[in-house]
Amino acid sequence: MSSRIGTSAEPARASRLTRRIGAALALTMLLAAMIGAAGFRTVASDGTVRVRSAPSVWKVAAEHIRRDAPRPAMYAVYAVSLAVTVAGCFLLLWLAATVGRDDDAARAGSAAVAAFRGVAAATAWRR
Amino acid sequence: MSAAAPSGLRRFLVALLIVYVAKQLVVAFVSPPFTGHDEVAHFAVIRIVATEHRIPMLWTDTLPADLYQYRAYSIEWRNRDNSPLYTAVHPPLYYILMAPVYAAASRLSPEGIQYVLRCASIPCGVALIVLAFLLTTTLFPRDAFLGVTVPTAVAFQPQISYEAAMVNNDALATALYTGILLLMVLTIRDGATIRRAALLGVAAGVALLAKGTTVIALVLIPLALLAGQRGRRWRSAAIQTAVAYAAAMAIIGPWWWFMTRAYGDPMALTAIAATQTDLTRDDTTFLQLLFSGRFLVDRWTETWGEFGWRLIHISGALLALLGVVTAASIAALVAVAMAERRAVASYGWRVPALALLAAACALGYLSTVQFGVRFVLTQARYFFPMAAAAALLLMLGLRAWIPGRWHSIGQAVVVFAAIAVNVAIYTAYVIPYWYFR
Repeated sequence: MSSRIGTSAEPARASRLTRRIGAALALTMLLAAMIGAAGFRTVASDGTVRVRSAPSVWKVAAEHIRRDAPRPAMYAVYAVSLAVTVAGCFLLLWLAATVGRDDDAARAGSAAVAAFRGVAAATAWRR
Repeated sequence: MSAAAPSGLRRFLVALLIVYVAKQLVVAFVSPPFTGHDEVAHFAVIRIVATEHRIPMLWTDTLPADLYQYRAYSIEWRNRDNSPLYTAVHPPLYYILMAPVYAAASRLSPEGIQYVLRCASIPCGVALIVLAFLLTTTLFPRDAFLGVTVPTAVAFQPQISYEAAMVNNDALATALYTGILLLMVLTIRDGATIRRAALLGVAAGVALLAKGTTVIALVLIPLALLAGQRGRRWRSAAIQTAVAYAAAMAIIGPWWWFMTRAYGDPMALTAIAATQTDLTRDDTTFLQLLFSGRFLVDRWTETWGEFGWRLIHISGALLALLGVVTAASIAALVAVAMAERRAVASYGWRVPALALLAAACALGYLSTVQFGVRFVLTQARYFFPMAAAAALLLMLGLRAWIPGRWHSIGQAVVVFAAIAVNVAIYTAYVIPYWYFR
């Protein structure tokens, strides 16, 4: 088994980094579009269906919680928690894309596809 | 975590836990009071333990009349004043742990106390994620994909995390059971000893004090101890199993003795059947339910939705998509195990450990089927203790589909999918159901 070292390894490393950053960026944009722009087919308890954006739905919940909360602090905790959750989800996407290195498995294909091919070949051979 | 752990994994776990706690607070506050599974009934048990310093009895204690307005979220609460407190038969650990929290918040209204108790369940979910992470890194210490995706899948599984934001003993039981699974995997890796057997027994006894659904641990303990023997040492495994059972019985024994005296059997199944006559059945068999597609679909639906005591139904298309991904993961796991036996054999001690986790999943489902033979209201929650084991096996199967050099992107896609499922469920179904009129 051999591995590339020194300057010859740099382009591959840069390519892997670009791929990860590209994926994280694409997923970030997708999540932003889902939260900010997408319309959800919402279903109320009486069965009424309406298309609404996520912020408009969350805003209605926040108003109810502010009005009905047994303590005012509950609304503050809710609002801060929602902000941390939304921001944290974006952060998680970036962190997830950066964990670990690809080097060890860089040339490995899909084990499942190979396994299904193997099973299919064995079945064909038995026939 | 070993020195060879993937770079950035610890940082990811810390961020995941922070986001999880924030998400759980949102779930706890966005769900109207007492709308969780059996929340009114669990709340009533905590109140009795906290204020009267006693364990409630099914025959004499009733559902709390002052909370009758929340009857839609409990079982068979037809009569305001004398409907049996059906959660009285649950083991006492969760209620004893929550009693001081109740006492500290007792100046609030029942609804206010309930929100505080919901928040007090969140640490159980945090423990579950940490244990799922340790289970994964014990088995695959250098695998970044599994290290990222398994704790994420557990943290964002909508129903499992929902239980950890409600007044309910499920999250505590799931966390304790996952701890037992971790101990079993460590026993298989490091070898079974009398001390580890005793520790397993103690852990099983404590988990049984949280909820009866963890009883499967008693079936798995002998298997783990046998797999942890160096060579075929049946006698040694038998002695260690006896030690483990003795330790477990020392803890759960007094409760089971009390239950048998009070209700006729350790789990009070006969008493439950006597008080929930409309919810018992005798028209099916174990095999009929095991091979029933309807039963499987119902449990799958409950695994992802049915919030607010089965009131909120999520889209069939979303459930089907999640089902396809799960089926593809299971198929890949089985295909790889069959086609690459030599490679799988090189996993060494991990093979029996993974087999044990698979057995935990299978037994979890089978026990839910068995409960369903007698009770109509069998629920997916009864197999939630296997959540971490199932997540690990499913992510192992999913990883097999992804070419090695795409694993890092694959793990980010799994995190995105987990977030997206939660956004969709809460935005399209849960919040509109509660707040749009």
